[in-house]
Amino acid sequence: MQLTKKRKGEAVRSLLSAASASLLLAVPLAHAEDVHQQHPEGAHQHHAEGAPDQPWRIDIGTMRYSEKDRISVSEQNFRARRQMSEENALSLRADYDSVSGASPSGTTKIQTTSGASGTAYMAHFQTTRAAAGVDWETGLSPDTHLTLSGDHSSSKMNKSSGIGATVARDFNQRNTTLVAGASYSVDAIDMAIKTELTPDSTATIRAASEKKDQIDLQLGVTQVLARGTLLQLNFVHGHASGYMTNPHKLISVVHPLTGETLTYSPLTEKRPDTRYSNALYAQINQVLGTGVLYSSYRYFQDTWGIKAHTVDFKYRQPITEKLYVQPHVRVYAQSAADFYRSMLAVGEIPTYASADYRLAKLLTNSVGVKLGYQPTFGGELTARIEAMRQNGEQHPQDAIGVQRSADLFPELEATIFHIGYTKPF
Amino acid sequence: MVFRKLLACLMVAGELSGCTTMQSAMQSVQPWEKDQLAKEEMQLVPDRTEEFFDSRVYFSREAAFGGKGVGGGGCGCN
Repeated sequence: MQLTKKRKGEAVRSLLSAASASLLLAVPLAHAEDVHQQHPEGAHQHHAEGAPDQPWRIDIGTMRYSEKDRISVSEQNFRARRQMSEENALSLRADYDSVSGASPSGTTKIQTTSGASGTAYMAHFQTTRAAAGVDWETGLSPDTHLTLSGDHSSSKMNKSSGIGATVARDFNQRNTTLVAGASYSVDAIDMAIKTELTPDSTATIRAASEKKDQIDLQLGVTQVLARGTLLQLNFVHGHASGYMTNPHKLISVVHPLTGETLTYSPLTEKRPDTRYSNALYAQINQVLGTGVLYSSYRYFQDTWGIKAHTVDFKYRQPITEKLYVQPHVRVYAQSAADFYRSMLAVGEIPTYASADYRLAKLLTNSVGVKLGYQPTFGGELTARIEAMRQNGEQHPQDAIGVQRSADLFPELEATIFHIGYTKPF
Repeated sequence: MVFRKLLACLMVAGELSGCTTMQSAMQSVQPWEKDQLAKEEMQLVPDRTEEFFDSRVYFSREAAFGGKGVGGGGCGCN
């Protein structure tokens, strides 16, 4: 039986209505939840995978991070998410890592001395850490979603606990999502805390533990800009207070003219006990042909005097229906903290000082490639390799005497190998 | 409207493709045109474990951190 022209029109309209209704439900929810870093897949994944029949989703990953002549990290990560009802989902997360190797102690490479004042340029250590977390996602209204999270991690000397809440609200036919979030965490360190900025050889133990509080506040927006273009803007303000000194790091003390370390003991370091930070983050996902380009930029600044820029590009290109390749490039540049000192002249005791190279002016370059494959048993397998290189000032202005001839920034070369598997069911 | 214009301009800054063009594109995206946006690869974080591992690596090797969201707890380290 043939449809009349009018009936055909009605049928098309009905089809469009049904399609639009389903997409209204599916897409914006995803973006609302995607804004929150800790809960990236959310309802989006659920719907994209044809979900009511697949309320579960698991993510498993293992990573090997290896630095040349320094530390190695082996890390395993697991997450299970259960869609409990249309508006409610529960996720459980677990992570375990093991770190061993050598890390720069903060002292200079050239130590023109013998006896007690000589301190290893590299310090060996080994530690393991376990972490667990839970997320609860719920709908407050058809357009408003709340995510509550809790986390705890523990290693031999460090413990951390945190809670967080994020509210996301959709507007503008769900082309726009506004996000507001807040989190609080407390970190405790249980080890002999030495007096700061005192000679390591004579420093006394002033405490058996210390703690740090961190509050983060987030405001963000996700906007559909075009049919294949999505923009995310985020502002995160952080406020940390408490013990932020690194009890494992030292600063070399040298002769003010010759730069020789002689018999001077290096000093323990000291960092300010407050740190306000601001991070502005922008990301664009852009469909290009059959692929997707992910571009992001972050500007960071804090009250320690650090300013940092990060740009990151990934491009995901399908090769076959079941296989894709994704090259990656990342560049990061930071200025030094106000209190960063590569060394101190004997007798000099500033209010704060640290020779931790991570607070120095530095540049990180990363390149990598990932392959993703959908096996016959379902889900997605990924394998990724990245190379990372970190450079800094080998001859900083505050170097003295013979220390000017040394390479003072401990250059870093690292590789990351990561295998992951994701499956909804 | 001003907000949407600002967003469009930000987009243009990245793509150098013209503010007016992008704004009209933004306004024309209807629910039934979101087929591409609904794909898994268009999520803001398409690979959760990759994101997690990278944030762990860079957090421990650089002074800057965060920006993508809040929560997740600290690492218990300095």
